[in-house]
Amino acid sequence: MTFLKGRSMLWLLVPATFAIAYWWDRSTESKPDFVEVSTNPDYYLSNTQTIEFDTNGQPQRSFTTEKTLHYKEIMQTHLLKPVMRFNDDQNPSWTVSSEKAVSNELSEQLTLEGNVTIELERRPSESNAVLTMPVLKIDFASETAFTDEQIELIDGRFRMTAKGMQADLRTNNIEFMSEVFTEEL
Amino acid sequence: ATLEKSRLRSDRSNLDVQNNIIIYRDNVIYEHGNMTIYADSLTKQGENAGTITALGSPVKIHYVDETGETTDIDAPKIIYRQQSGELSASGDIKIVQSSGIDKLTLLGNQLTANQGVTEGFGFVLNGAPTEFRIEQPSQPAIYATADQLRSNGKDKQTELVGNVKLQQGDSNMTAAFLTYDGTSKVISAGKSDSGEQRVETEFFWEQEQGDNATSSQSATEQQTEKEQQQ
Repeated sequence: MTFLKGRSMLWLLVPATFAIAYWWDRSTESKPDFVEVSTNPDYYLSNTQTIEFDTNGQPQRSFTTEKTLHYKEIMQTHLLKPVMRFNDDQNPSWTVSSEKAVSNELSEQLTLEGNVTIELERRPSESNAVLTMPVLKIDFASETAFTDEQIELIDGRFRMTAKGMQADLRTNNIEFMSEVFTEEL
Repeated sequence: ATLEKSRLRSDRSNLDVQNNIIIYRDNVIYEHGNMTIYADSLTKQGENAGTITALGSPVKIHYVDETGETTDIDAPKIIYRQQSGELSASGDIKIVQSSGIDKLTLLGNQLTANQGVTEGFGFVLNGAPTEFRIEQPSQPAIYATADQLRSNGKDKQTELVGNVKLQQGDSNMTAAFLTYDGTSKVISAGKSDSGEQRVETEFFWEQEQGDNATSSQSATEQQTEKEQQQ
Protein backbone atom coordinates (compact mmCIF):
# COMPACT_ATOMS: atom_id res chain seq x y z
CA MET A 1 0.00 0.00 0.00
CA THR A 2 2.99 2.30 -0.45
CA PHE A 3 0.99 3.71 -3.36
CA LEU A 4 -1.12 6.00 -0.98
CA LYS A 5 1.89 7.29 0.89
CA GLY A 6 2.89 10.99 0.71
CA ARG A 7 0.91 14.22 0.08
CA SER A 8 1.00 14.14 -3.73
CA MET A 9 -1.59 11.41 -3.63
CA LEU A 10 -3.98 13.72 -1.73
CA TRP A 11 -4.24 16.18 -4.68
CA LEU A 12 -5.71 13.37 -6.79
CA LEU A 13 -8.49 12.86 -4.22
CA VAL A 14 -9.67 16.47 -4.31
CA PRO A 15 -10.79 16.60 -8.02
CA ALA A 16 -12.08 13.05 -7.76
CA THR A 17 -14.41 14.12 -4.95
CA PHE A 18 -15.79 17.06 -6.97
CA ALA A 19 -16.31 14.86 -10.03
CA ILE A 20 -18.27 12.30 -8.05
CA ALA A 21 -20.36 15.05 -6.43
CA TYR A 22 -21.12 16.63 -9.78
CA TRP A 23 -22.28 13.42 -11.41
CA TRP A 24 -24.22 12.58 -8.28
CA ASP A 25 -26.19 15.85 -8.36
CA ARG A 26 -29.01 15.52 -10.92
CA SER A 27 -30.64 18.93 -10.12
CA THR A 28 -28.84 20.92 -12.86
CA GLU A 29 -30.95 21.23 -16.10
CA SER A 30 -29.66 19.09 -18.92
CA LYS A 31 -28.51 20.86 -22.12
CA PRO A 32 -31.64 21.98 -24.10
CA ASP A 33 -32.70 19.66 -26.87
CA PHE A 34 -32.83 22.48 -29.39
CA VAL A 35 -29.10 23.17 -29.44
CA GLU A 36 -28.48 22.40 -33.13
CA VAL A 37 -25.12 24.01 -33.86
CA SER A 38 -22.13 22.04 -32.73
CA THR A 39 -20.57 25.08 -31.06
CA ASN A 40 -22.46 25.72 -27.85
CA PRO A 41 -24.52 28.92 -27.56
CA ASP A 42 -22.87 31.42 -25.26
CA TYR A 43 -26.31 31.94 -23.76
CA TYR A 44 -29.85 30.70 -24.17
CA LEU A 45 -33.17 31.95 -22.85
CA SER A 46 -36.58 30.42 -22.42
CA ASN A 47 -39.98 32.20 -22.75
CA THR A 48 -38.49 35.60 -23.45
CA GLN A 49 -40.65 38.72 -23.75
CA THR A 50 -39.25 42.06 -24.84
CA ILE A 51 -41.33 45.26 -25.04
CA GLU A 52 -40.08 48.51 -26.55
CA PHE A 53 -41.90 51.70 -25.49
CA ASP A 54 -42.12 54.96 -27.37
CA THR A 55 -41.43 58.34 -25.80
CA ASN A 56 -45.04 58.50 -24.54
CA GLY A 57 -44.62 55.24 -22.75
CA GLN A 58 -46.82 53.37 -25.18
CA PRO A 59 -45.73 49.87 -26.28
CA GLN A 60 -44.32 50.23 -29.81
CA ARG A 61 -42.83 46.80 -30.45
CA SER A 62 -43.10 43.60 -28.51
CA PHE A 63 -41.20 40.40 -29.11
CA THR A 64 -41.72 36.99 -27.54
CA THR A 65 -40.00 33.68 -28.19
CA GLU A 66 -40.21 30.28 -26.55
CA LYS A 67 -36.48 29.60 -26.91
CA THR A 68 -33.58 31.92 -27.78
CA LEU A 69 -29.99 30.80 -28.44
CA HIS A 70 -27.13 33.19 -29.09
CA TYR A 71 -24.02 31.98 -30.95
CA LYS A 72 -21.13 34.39 -30.52
CA GLU A 73 -18.78 32.89 -33.15
CA ILE A 74 -21.27 33.09 -36.02
CA MET A 75 -22.96 36.21 -34.60
CA GLN A 76 -26.44 34.72 -34.87
CA THR A 77 -29.41 34.32 -32.59
CA HIS A 78 -31.71 31.37 -33.20
CA LEU A 79 -35.33 31.80 -32.06
CA LEU A 80 -38.11 29.27 -31.61
CA LYS A 81 -41.77 30.36 -32.13
CA PRO A 82 -41.04 34.06 -32.33
CA VAL A 83 -43.99 36.49 -32.27
CA MET A 84 -43.39 40.14 -33.10
CA ARG A 85 -45.95 42.89 -32.79
CA PHE A 86 -45.43 46.30 -34.41
CA ASN A 87 -47.95 48.95 -33.42
CA ASP A 88 -48.25 52.67 -33.13
CA ASP A 89 -51.23 55.02 -32.82
CA GLN A 90 -51.44 56.11 -36.44
CA ASN A 91 -51.03 52.77 -38.10
CA PRO A 92 -52.79 49.43 -37.85
CA SER A 93 -50.69 46.93 -35.96
CA TRP A 94 -48.85 44.02 -37.55
CA THR A 95 -48.26 40.74 -35.79
CA VAL A 96 -45.57 38.55 -37.35
CA SER A 97 -45.01 34.96 -36.22
CA SER A 98 -43.33 31.77 -37.43
CA GLU A 99 -42.03 28.37 -36.35
CA LYS A 100 -38.45 29.60 -36.05
CA ALA A 101 -36.18 32.49 -37.00
CA VAL A 102 -32.52 33.39 -37.27
CA SER A 103 -31.31 36.88 -36.48
CA ASN A 104 -28.08 37.89 -38.21
CA GLU A 105 -26.15 40.62 -36.38
CA LEU A 106 -23.95 41.51 -39.35
CA SER A 107 -26.80 42.16 -41.77
CA GLU A 108 -29.40 43.27 -39.22
CA GLN A 109 -31.75 40.85 -40.89
CA LEU A 110 -34.16 38.41 -39.36
CA THR A 111 -35.08 35.34 -41.43
CA LEU A 112 -38.31 33.69 -40.40
CA GLU A 113 -39.17 30.18 -41.54
CA GLY A 114 -42.05 27.74 -41.23
CA ASN A 115 -45.68 28.90 -41.49
CA VAL A 116 -44.76 32.57 -41.40
CA THR A 117 -47.90 34.62 -40.66
CA ILE A 118 -48.46 38.37 -40.78
CA GLU A 119 -51.72 39.53 -39.25
CA LEU A 120 -52.75 43.04 -40.25
CA GLU A 121 -55.12 44.70 -37.85
CA ARG A 122 -58.23 46.19 -39.42
CA ARG A 123 -60.94 48.40 -38.07
CA PRO A 124 -62.99 46.83 -35.27
CA SER A 125 -65.87 46.16 -37.69
CA GLU A 126 -63.61 44.30 -40.10
CA SER A 127 -61.80 40.99 -39.74
CA ASN A 128 -58.02 41.17 -39.73
CA ALA A 129 -56.14 40.45 -42.94
CA VAL A 130 -53.80 37.45 -42.72
CA LEU A 131 -50.75 36.88 -44.93
CA THR A 132 -49.03 33.50 -44.92
CA MET A 133 -45.83 32.32 -46.59
CA PRO A 134 -43.08 29.77 -45.95
CA VAL A 135 -40.16 32.20 -45.57
CA LEU A 136 -39.85 35.92 -44.80
CA LYS A 137 -36.87 38.21 -44.26
CA ILE A 138 -37.20 41.36 -42.14
CA ASP A 139 -34.55 44.03 -42.60
CA PHE A 140 -34.62 46.23 -39.49
CA ALA A 141 -32.23 48.76 -41.03
CA SER A 142 -34.58 49.61 -43.91
CA GLU A 143 -37.73 48.50 -42.03
CA THR A 144 -38.82 46.27 -44.90
CA ALA A 145 -39.96 42.67 -45.09
CA PHE A 146 -39.65 40.59 -48.26
CA THR A 147 -39.89 37.10 -49.72
CA ASP A 148 -39.58 35.46 -53.12
CA GLU A 149 -41.90 32.64 -52.16
CA GLN A 150 -45.58 32.02 -52.84
CA ILE A 151 -47.79 34.04 -50.53
CA GLU A 152 -51.48 33.92 -49.66
CA LEU A 153 -53.56 36.83 -48.34
CA ILE A 154 -57.00 36.31 -46.76
CA ASP A 155 -58.64 39.73 -46.42
CA GLY A 156 -62.31 39.72 -45.47
CA ARG A 157 -64.17 37.99 -48.29
CA PHE A 158 -61.15 37.88 -50.59
CA ARG A 159 -58.30 35.48 -51.07
CA MET A 160 -55.25 36.56 -53.03
CA THR A 161 -52.19 34.58 -54.02
CA ALA A 162 -49.00 35.91 -55.57
CA LYS A 163 -45.32 35.10 -55.95
CA GLY A 164 -42.93 37.37 -54.15
CA MET A 165 -43.72 40.24 -51.80
CA GLN A 166 -42.06 43.39 -50.48
CA ALA A 167 -43.56 45.20 -47.48
CA ASP A 168 -42.59 48.66 -46.23
CA LEU A 169 -43.23 48.60 -42.47
CA ARG A 170 -43.06 52.40 -42.25
CA THR A 171 -45.58 53.30 -44.94
CA ASN A 172 -47.70 50.17 -44.37
CA ASN A 173 -47.55 49.30 -48.04
CA ILE A 174 -47.16 45.80 -49.44
CA GLU A 175 -46.12 45.16 -53.06
CA PHE A 176 -46.94 41.72 -54.51
CA MET A 177 -44.39 41.04 -57.20
CA SER A 178 -45.95 38.61 -59.74
CA GLU A 179 -48.64 36.08 -60.63
CA VAL A 180 -51.34 37.87 -58.66
CA PHE A 181 -54.69 36.08 -58.50
CA THR A 182 -57.68 37.21 -56.40
CA GLU A 183 -61.03 35.56 -55.86
CA GLU A 184 -64.01 36.04 -53.59
CA LEU A 185 -64.58 33.39 -50.94
CA ALA B 1 -79.69 38.95 -61.40
CA THR B 2 -77.54 37.60 -58.59
CA LEU B 3 -73.92 38.12 -59.48
CA GLU B 4 -71.31 35.42 -59.14
CA LYS B 5 -68.12 35.90 -57.17
CA SER B 6 -65.53 38.08 -58.81
CA ARG B 7 -62.09 36.91 -59.84
CA LEU B 8 -59.08 38.92 -60.83
CA ARG B 9 -55.64 38.28 -62.31
CA SER B 10 -52.69 40.68 -62.79
CA ASP B 11 -48.92 40.79 -62.96
CA ARG B 12 -48.47 42.86 -59.77
CA SER B 13 -50.46 44.46 -56.99
CA ASN B 14 -49.98 46.84 -54.08
CA LEU B 15 -51.87 46.81 -50.77
CA ASP B 16 -52.16 50.02 -48.75
CA VAL B 17 -52.83 48.42 -45.39
CA GLN B 18 -53.71 51.67 -43.66
CA ASN B 19 -56.43 52.77 -46.06
CA ASN B 20 -57.38 49.25 -47.13
CA ILE B 21 -56.88 50.02 -50.82
CA ILE B 22 -55.41 47.45 -53.21
CA ILE B 23 -54.14 48.38 -56.68
CA TYR B 24 -53.61 45.73 -59.33
CA ARG B 25 -51.23 46.55 -62.18
CA ASP B 26 -50.20 45.27 -65.61
CA ASN B 27 -52.40 42.89 -67.61
CA VAL B 28 -55.32 43.14 -65.23
CA ILE B 29 -58.24 40.80 -66.03
CA TYR B 30 -61.30 41.17 -63.80
CA GLU B 31 -64.27 38.82 -64.19
CA HIS B 32 -67.67 39.27 -62.60
CA GLY B 33 -70.85 37.63 -63.81
CA ASN B 34 -71.09 37.91 -67.60
CA MET B 35 -68.63 40.80 -67.68
CA THR B 36 -64.85 40.86 -68.07
CA ILE B 37 -62.76 44.01 -67.66
CA TYR B 38 -59.28 44.28 -69.18
CA ALA B 39 -57.23 47.19 -67.80
CA ASP B 40 -53.72 48.49 -67.18
CA SER B 41 -54.54 49.17 -63.53
CA LEU B 42 -57.49 48.42 -61.31
CA THR B 43 -58.09 49.76 -57.80
CA LYS B 44 -60.35 48.02 -55.27
CA GLN B 45 -61.54 49.94 -52.22
CA GLY B 46 -64.51 50.73 -50.05
CA GLU B 47 -66.88 48.39 -48.26
CA ASN B 48 -65.90 44.78 -49.04
CA ALA B 49 -63.52 46.21 -51.67
CA GLY B 50 -66.67 46.70 -53.71
CA THR B 51 -65.74 49.89 -55.60
CA ILE B 52 -63.56 49.19 -58.59
CA THR B 53 -61.78 51.88 -60.63
CA ALA B 54 -60.12 50.70 -63.81
CA LEU B 55 -57.74 52.71 -65.97
CA GLY B 56 -56.42 51.70 -69.34
CA SER B 57 -55.39 52.73 -72.78
CA PRO B 58 -58.26 52.02 -73.13
CA VAL B 59 -60.02 49.88 -70.56
CA LYS B 60 -61.96 47.16 -72.38
CA ILE B 61 -65.20 45.63 -71.14
CA HIS B 62 -66.53 42.49 -72.74
CA TYR B 63 -70.06 41.46 -71.90
CA VAL B 64 -71.87 38.35 -73.19
CA ASP B 65 -75.58 38.03 -72.47
CA GLU B 66 -77.62 34.87 -72.13
CA THR B 67 -78.31 34.71 -75.88
CA GLY B 68 -74.60 34.99 -76.68
CA GLU B 69 -74.83 38.53 -77.98
CA THR B 70 -71.85 40.66 -77.04
CA THR B 71 -71.35 44.23 -75.90
CA ASP B 72 -67.81 45.57 -76.00
CA ILE B 73 -66.99 48.90 -74.42
CA ASP B 74 -63.75 50.88 -74.70
CA ALA B 75 -63.15 53.79 -72.33
CA PRO B 76 -60.09 55.35 -70.68
CA LYS B 77 -61.62 55.14 -67.20
CA ILE B 78 -64.36 52.95 -65.69
CA ILE B 79 -65.88 52.81 -62.21
CA TYR B 80 -67.79 49.69 -61.26
CA ARG B 81 -69.76 48.96 -58.04
CA GLN B 82 -69.71 45.25 -57.57
CA GLN B 83 -72.65 45.02 -55.16
CA SER B 84 -75.14 46.84 -57.38
CA GLY B 85 -73.62 46.07 -60.79
CA GLU B 86 -73.56 49.82 -61.58
CA LEU B 87 -70.90 50.97 -64.02
CA SER B 88 -69.90 54.44 -65.13
CA ALA B 89 -67.30 55.58 -67.61
CA SER B 90 -66.02 58.86 -68.95
CA GLY B 91 -63.79 60.00 -71.79
CA ASP B 92 -63.84 58.73 -75.35
CA ILE B 93 -66.30 55.86 -75.12
CA LYS B 94 -67.01 53.35 -77.84
CA ILE B 95 -69.66 50.65 -77.55
CA VAL B 96 -69.93 47.87 -80.10
CA GLN B 97 -72.92 45.53 -79.90
CA SER B 98 -72.90 42.50 -82.09
CA SER B 99 -75.91 40.25 -82.61
CA GLY B 100 -75.70 37.72 -85.33
CA ILE B 101 -74.89 39.57 -88.57
CA ASP B 102 -75.62 43.08 -87.29
CA LYS B 103 -73.05 45.35 -85.76
CA LEU B 104 -74.10 48.42 -83.81
CA THR B 105 -71.41 51.01 -82.97
CA LEU B 106 -72.09 53.83 -80.52
CA LEU B 107 -69.74 56.68 -79.60
CA GLY B 108 -70.06 59.11 -76.67
CA ASN B 109 -68.23 60.61 -73.69
CA GLN B 110 -70.31 59.76 -70.61
CA LEU B 111 -71.72 56.34 -69.83
CA THR B 112 -73.79 54.86 -67.06
CA ALA B 113 -74.69 51.22 -67.27
CA ASN B 114 -75.86 48.32 -65.15
CA GLN B 115 -75.21 44.63 -65.60
CA GLY B 116 -76.95 43.48 -62.47
CA VAL B 117 -80.57 44.64 -62.57
CA THR B 118 -81.67 43.41 -65.99
CA GLU B 119 -80.64 40.25 -67.74
CA GLY B 120 -78.91 42.25 -70.47
CA PHE B 121 -76.58 45.23 -70.42
CA GLY B 122 -78.65 48.36 -69.98
CA PHE B 123 -76.92 51.71 -70.51
CA VAL B 124 -77.31 55.45 -71.08
CA LEU B 125 -74.69 57.11 -73.25
CA ASN B 126 -74.30 60.87 -73.52
CA GLY B 127 -72.19 62.76 -75.97
CA ALA B 128 -71.72 66.00 -77.78
CA PRO B 129 -73.39 64.47 -79.74
CA THR B 130 -73.44 60.71 -79.46
CA GLU B 131 -72.94 58.77 -82.67
CA PHE B 132 -74.90 55.71 -83.75
CA ARG B 133 -73.96 53.42 -86.63
CA ILE B 134 -75.53 50.17 -87.82
CA GLU B 135 -73.84 47.91 -90.33
CA GLN B 136 -75.91 45.15 -91.91
CA PRO B 137 -74.91 42.91 -94.82
CA SER B 138 -76.23 44.03 -98.25
CA GLN B 139 -77.63 47.25 -96.74
CA PRO B 140 -76.13 50.74 -96.76
CA ALA B 141 -74.94 51.62 -93.26
CA ILE B 142 -77.26 53.71 -91.10
CA TYR B 143 -75.58 56.61 -89.37
CA ALA B 144 -77.22 58.88 -86.76
CA THR B 145 -76.34 61.44 -84.10
CA ALA B 146 -78.32 62.37 -81.01
CA ASP B 147 -77.91 63.98 -77.61
CA GLN B 148 -78.31 60.64 -75.85
CA LEU B 149 -78.48 56.92 -76.59
CA ARG B 150 -80.29 54.48 -74.30
CA SER B 151 -80.77 50.75 -74.12
CA ASN B 152 -82.56 48.78 -71.41
CA GLY B 153 -80.52 45.72 -72.30
CA LYS B 154 -83.54 43.42 -72.37
CA ASP B 155 -85.49 43.73 -75.59
CA LYS B 156 -82.66 44.81 -77.92
CA GLN B 157 -84.05 48.29 -78.44
CA THR B 158 -81.80 51.34 -78.70
CA GLU B 159 -83.34 54.77 -78.23
CA LEU B 160 -81.81 57.91 -79.68
CA VAL B 161 -83.06 60.95 -77.82
CA GLY B 162 -82.74 64.69 -78.59
CA ASN B 163 -81.81 66.34 -81.90
CA VAL B 164 -81.78 63.05 -83.74
CA LYS B 165 -80.33 63.17 -87.25
CA LEU B 166 -80.31 59.93 -89.23
CA GLN B 167 -78.82 59.17 -92.61
CA GLN B 168 -78.94 56.04 -94.78
CA GLY B 169 -77.51 56.32 -98.23
CA ASP B 170 -79.16 59.43 -99.67
CA SER B 171 -82.05 59.47 -97.19
CA ASN B 172 -82.06 61.79 -94.23
CA MET B 173 -84.36 62.10 -91.26
CA THR B 174 -84.52 64.38 -88.25
CA ALA B 175 -86.70 63.76 -85.20
CA ALA B 176 -86.96 64.33 -81.45
CA PHE B 177 -86.42 60.70 -80.70
CA LEU B 178 -85.91 57.54 -82.63
CA THR B 179 -86.05 53.88 -81.65
CA TYR B 180 -84.12 51.16 -83.39
CA ASP B 181 -85.45 47.65 -82.78
CA GLY B 182 -82.68 45.11 -83.19
CA THR B 183 -85.13 42.27 -83.52
CA SER B 184 -87.54 43.60 -86.14
CA LYS B 185 -84.96 45.94 -87.69
CA VAL B 186 -87.60 48.68 -87.61
CA ILE B 187 -86.66 52.31 -86.98
CA SER B 188 -89.52 54.38 -85.62
CA ALA B 189 -89.32 58.11 -85.12
CA GLY B 190 -91.46 60.53 -83.16
CA LYS B 191 -91.93 64.23 -82.67
CA SER B 192 -91.10 66.05 -79.47
CA ASP B 193 -93.77 66.42 -76.79
CA SER B 194 -94.04 70.15 -77.43
CA GLY B 195 -94.53 69.44 -81.09
CA GLU B 196 -91.72 71.81 -81.91
CA GLN B 197 -89.56 69.19 -83.56
CA ARG B 198 -91.52 67.19 -86.07
CA VAL B 199 -90.27 64.20 -87.98
CA GLU B 200 -88.84 65.32 -91.28
CA THR B 201 -87.80 62.83 -93.91
CA GLU B 202 -86.00 63.60 -97.13
CA PHE B 203 -85.30 60.83 -99.59
CA PHE B 204 -84.43 60.51 -103.27
CA TRP B 205 -85.26 57.77 -105.67
CA GLU B 206 -84.20 57.07 -109.24
CA GLN B 207 -86.79 57.36 -112.12
CA GLU B 208 -86.92 54.54 -114.82
CA GLN B 209 -84.56 55.36 -117.79
CA GLY B 210 -87.24 54.98 -120.55
CA ASP B 211 -89.44 57.81 -119.25
CA ASN B 212 -86.68 60.47 -119.87
CA ALA B 213 -87.58 61.79 -116.45
CA THR B 214 -85.03 63.65 -114.59
CA SER B 215 -82.62 61.15 -113.17
CA SER B 216 -83.61 62.01 -109.63
CA GLN B 217 -86.45 63.74 -107.99
CA SER B 218 -86.54 65.29 -104.55
CA ALA B 219 -89.56 65.03 -102.37
CA THR B 220 -89.88 66.44 -99.03
CA GLU B 221 -92.78 65.16 -97.20
CA GLN B 222 -93.85 66.09 -93.79
CA GLN B 223 -94.59 62.94 -91.92
CA THR B 224 -95.93 62.82 -88.51
CA GLU B 225 -95.32 59.64 -86.50
CA LYS B 226 -95.27 57.57 -89.70
CA GLU B 227 -93.67 54.09 -89.35
CA GLN B 228 -90.94 53.67 -91.96
CA GLN B 229 -90.36 50.08 -92.98
CA GLN B 230 -86.69 49.35 -93.33
